Amino acid sequence: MMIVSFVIGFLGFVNVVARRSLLGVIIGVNLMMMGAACAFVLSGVVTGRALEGHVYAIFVIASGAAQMVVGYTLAVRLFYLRRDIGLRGLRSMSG
Amino acid sequence: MVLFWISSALAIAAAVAATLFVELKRAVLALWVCALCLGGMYLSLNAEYLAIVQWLVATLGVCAFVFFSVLLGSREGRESWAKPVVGLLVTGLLAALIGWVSMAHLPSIEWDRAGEGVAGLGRVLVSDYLLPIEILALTLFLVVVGAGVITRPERRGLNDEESP
Repeated sequence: MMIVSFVIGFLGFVNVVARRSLLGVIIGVNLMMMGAACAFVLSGVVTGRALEGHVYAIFVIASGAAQMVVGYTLAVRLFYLRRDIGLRGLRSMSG
Repeated sequence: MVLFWISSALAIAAAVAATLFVELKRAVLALWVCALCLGGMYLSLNAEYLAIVQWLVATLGVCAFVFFSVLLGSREGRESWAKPVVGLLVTGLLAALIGWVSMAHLPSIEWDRAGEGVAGLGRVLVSDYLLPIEILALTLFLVVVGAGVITRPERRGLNDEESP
């Protein structure tokens, strides 16, 4: 049963690795967050402590919302700086 | 039980679609469908509040994503090596999943349907997890304020023009 959350999280990881723009990476991180929340809910159901699983899933979903806001902020800032949200341009920022 | 497995299968299919679509708008639409299916899964697990939170956050996030993809451009590509590797990984994953499902019968899930539900969850949140909830609220507030500060346009040009 936990394989559902594993598959969703793994596909999110593949998205993060394979995408070339910041918005694409945000999609991948969102998928990973969904997989993590799903894992908490399912493990709570499996172990018989469903309420704890729900609480941790709420924390993960709220953290995912915060991560989305930060991602959009970075995308807007990157667009101000480079007129492009591709990840290749970020390499030159390392000095 | 049937709703759980149907939602799971649809969520995985939507996640695969979100991975394979090149255009960002289609990918985020698939992400939204995946979130809706996960909400259906939570509903089947007697977690109504969590399902509603998942649906709301996903819908608002997707609306914001469409706005930003229009604003910043939705051109998207992958690394040259990524397309065959992603295709291979997804195909292998699906083959393993289909093999696992066909070889083993789907496990049944036992949970306490007579639990306290949303009332119990609210009671736990305001008693045992009050401090983490407060920290989470503060974190969200700081994130919003920080986002406003970071995206504020720079005023160096204005100061330069004002100086004699």
